[in-house]
Amino acid sequence: MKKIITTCLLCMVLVFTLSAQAASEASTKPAHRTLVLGLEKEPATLNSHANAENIVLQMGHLYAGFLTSLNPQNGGPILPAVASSWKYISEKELAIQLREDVYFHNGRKLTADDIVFTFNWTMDQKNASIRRTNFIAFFDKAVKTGEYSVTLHLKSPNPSLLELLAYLPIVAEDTVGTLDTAPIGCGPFKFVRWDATQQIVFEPYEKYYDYESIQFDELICRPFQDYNAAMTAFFANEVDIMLFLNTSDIPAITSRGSKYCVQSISDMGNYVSCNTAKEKLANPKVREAIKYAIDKKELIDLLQSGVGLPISQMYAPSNMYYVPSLDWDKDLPRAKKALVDAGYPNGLDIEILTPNTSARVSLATILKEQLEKVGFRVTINVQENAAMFELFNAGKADLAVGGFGFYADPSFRTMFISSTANSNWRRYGYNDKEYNDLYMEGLSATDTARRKEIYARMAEKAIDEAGFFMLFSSTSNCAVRSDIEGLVYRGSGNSDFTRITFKK
Amino acid sequence: MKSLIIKKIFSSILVVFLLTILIFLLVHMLPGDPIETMLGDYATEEAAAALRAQYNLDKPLPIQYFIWMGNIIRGDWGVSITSKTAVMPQVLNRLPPTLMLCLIPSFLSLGVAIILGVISASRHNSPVDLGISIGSLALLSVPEFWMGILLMLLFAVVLNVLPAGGYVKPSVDFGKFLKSITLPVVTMILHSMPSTIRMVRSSMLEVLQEDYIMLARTKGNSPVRCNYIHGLRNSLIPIATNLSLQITSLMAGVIVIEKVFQFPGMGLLLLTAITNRDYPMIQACIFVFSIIVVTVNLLTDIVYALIDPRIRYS
Repeated sequence: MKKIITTCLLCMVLVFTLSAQAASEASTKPAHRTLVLGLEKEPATLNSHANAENIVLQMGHLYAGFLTSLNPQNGGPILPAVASSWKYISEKELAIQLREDVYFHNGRKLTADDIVFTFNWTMDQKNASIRRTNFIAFFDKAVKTGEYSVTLHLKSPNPSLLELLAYLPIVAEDTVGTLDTAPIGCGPFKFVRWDATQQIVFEPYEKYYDYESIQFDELICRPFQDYNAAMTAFFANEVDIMLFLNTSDIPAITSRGSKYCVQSISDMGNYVSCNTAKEKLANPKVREAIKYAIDKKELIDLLQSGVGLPISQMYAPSNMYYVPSLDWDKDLPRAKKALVDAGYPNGLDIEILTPNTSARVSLATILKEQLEKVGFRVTINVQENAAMFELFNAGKADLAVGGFGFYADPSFRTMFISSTANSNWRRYGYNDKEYNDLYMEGLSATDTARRKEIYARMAEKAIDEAGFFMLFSSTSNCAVRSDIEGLVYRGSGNSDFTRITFKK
Repeated sequence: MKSLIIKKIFSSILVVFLLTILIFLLVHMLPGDPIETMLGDYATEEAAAALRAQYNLDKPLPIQYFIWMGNIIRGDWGVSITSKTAVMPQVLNRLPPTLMLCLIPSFLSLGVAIILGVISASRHNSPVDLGISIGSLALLSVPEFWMGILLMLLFAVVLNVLPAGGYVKPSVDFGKFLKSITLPVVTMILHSMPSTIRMVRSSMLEVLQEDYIMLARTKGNSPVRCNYIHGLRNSLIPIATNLSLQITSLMAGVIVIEKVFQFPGMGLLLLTAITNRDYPMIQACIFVFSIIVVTVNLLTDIVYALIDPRIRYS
């Protein structure tokens, strides 16, 4: 009996000792924190110079450095990033001072040579950087003026330059070769590895100038091909932030009490465009009929559960260049009369081209019903993305539905229907000299009043002549675990995770 | 037997060669352009033309085919248009998980299906037979992706005992590997087993009517011996055919399962390549799939000869 008691006591002491040691280790060793993001699909590449998809842009904002940063407050001033300050020497010269504590993920310090290289590489057509189209119209060269200073020389002034710099990933000669699959940047997160279809792993870079603000040790991006599987993984707590969330699933998130929450992460505009190269759509009365058949409020109610704003221009209603007087309401009698006046008293066959995503197909379906009320006979042509682009770019669509993220400067999106070299105008068949001249003038105008006049006139032409009808603004939402806060949205494909904290 | 195998191999090589032409033509007939898909809204004529030249997409189709075929023979499967990395390592890396998802369920479900099919046939019209028939019909009616999501909801969300998708290599963590393949494999088994059960059952029902089975019973053989030694062996030909068809149809269905469970196999690789119109990758994936199908058919022909000596000597 004595032996049994002694043995039991010894075991208890052993167990307590081991537990205490483990607890002691646990309390002294910091817990390894991982932030897991759910992506709506696997990016085709990590090179945001090569691919325009939002998901690729987002990956780029994890590892790459940028000269400037967008302000999370809509309409707020552009913020410094790798560029610590800047000054316009003249209308066509921007002097930039760089931070002296920026390092690439291979340990090398960033200097002015890397900024010069970035611009030279981007503007070299053989590198096929999509960013080139943003700069080609006005950019001349970048000149090193000191170890940490550069002057950008422009062919013409450009008020959107600082915003454009927030979308230009910095590259270096010794890192540019691996951008697609193992990128090396100078941003907050260092690329670790890419396990195909499973995860893309990053870790906070210890030499990043704001490293102390990052409160976790690892960032894992998990792509999902199937939306239902993604939501299952989120509810199984395998994902902390689901970067894509269908609006219809918001109640499913919020109904689970305080465990999860929904956050808006991007503003975008949805549109239906007319191909005015087609004879029936070249008729302004037909376009008028389409314009006044559209019920934007119904679209917002049915597609966005009432969340969103009707818009008429290619930038957010809060934008200083937005002209509220150009907004219009549905007017069915006027639409019907316009179609009759156009010479189609018995109706007109028309086709809406849409990609095969559920949001766009739903938009096309409701538009079909609205147009049929005024006499159109509408068919919907649902195409996979690649096929849709082919038809769209070849100018084969009648109407097409789509959407894009908003930029602060109106020149970004008004470029769409210009027929200048950096646009794909055949989609819309709109080749108007006045519009192009206004676009080019708007790119370089520095007087705000004149720019307002320019963009007001361009918006008018887009609606009345090009038949480019903006419909409503919507937000992209993400689902977040409630113990996580600090997600900052800065712009399209530009969610900032460096301020994420975990509530205790 | 040797000459049979050699003949089959030569005809398989010819089939694969003809398939390369078909694959190439089909891929290029797909609507959509990889360059415009990649460039999206930035697809100006200038940018697109520069990239097309870079990938030889501006050359005539026959030239593109001969370039591709010549490279394949030299072991160069080209460079992915979207990721700009070599195609072959990606394809070979993704092949084992797909083979795992096709072969493990095929053989596991075969073992179970044979037993259930024989039981069902030997107890024809009994409640056991009815239960197995109804059960297999019910499973056959359920789409595999729906079944997969239901299993995921049950085991990953409600019970929280298995992961909701993903894959861990066995070399990294064998325990997690087993957990990660459980749901996809079970889904594939539940999807493929019913048709095998029904095939075994109907085949056995025919065989069990034969005189030699009656003789075997009369001679005092046990039911197990009659069913499995005398009966099953004679119904193996259609079972072998069904297995071969099942493996090939599982390879088609594996795309859905890989998508649902985010399993890094060739199905998902092919799906992504098709979405992006990544021609070299699509061609390589279909080429590999076609080699597998041809090989499975070749092996099935050899198995026929092993099962049935009459085929061997004909």
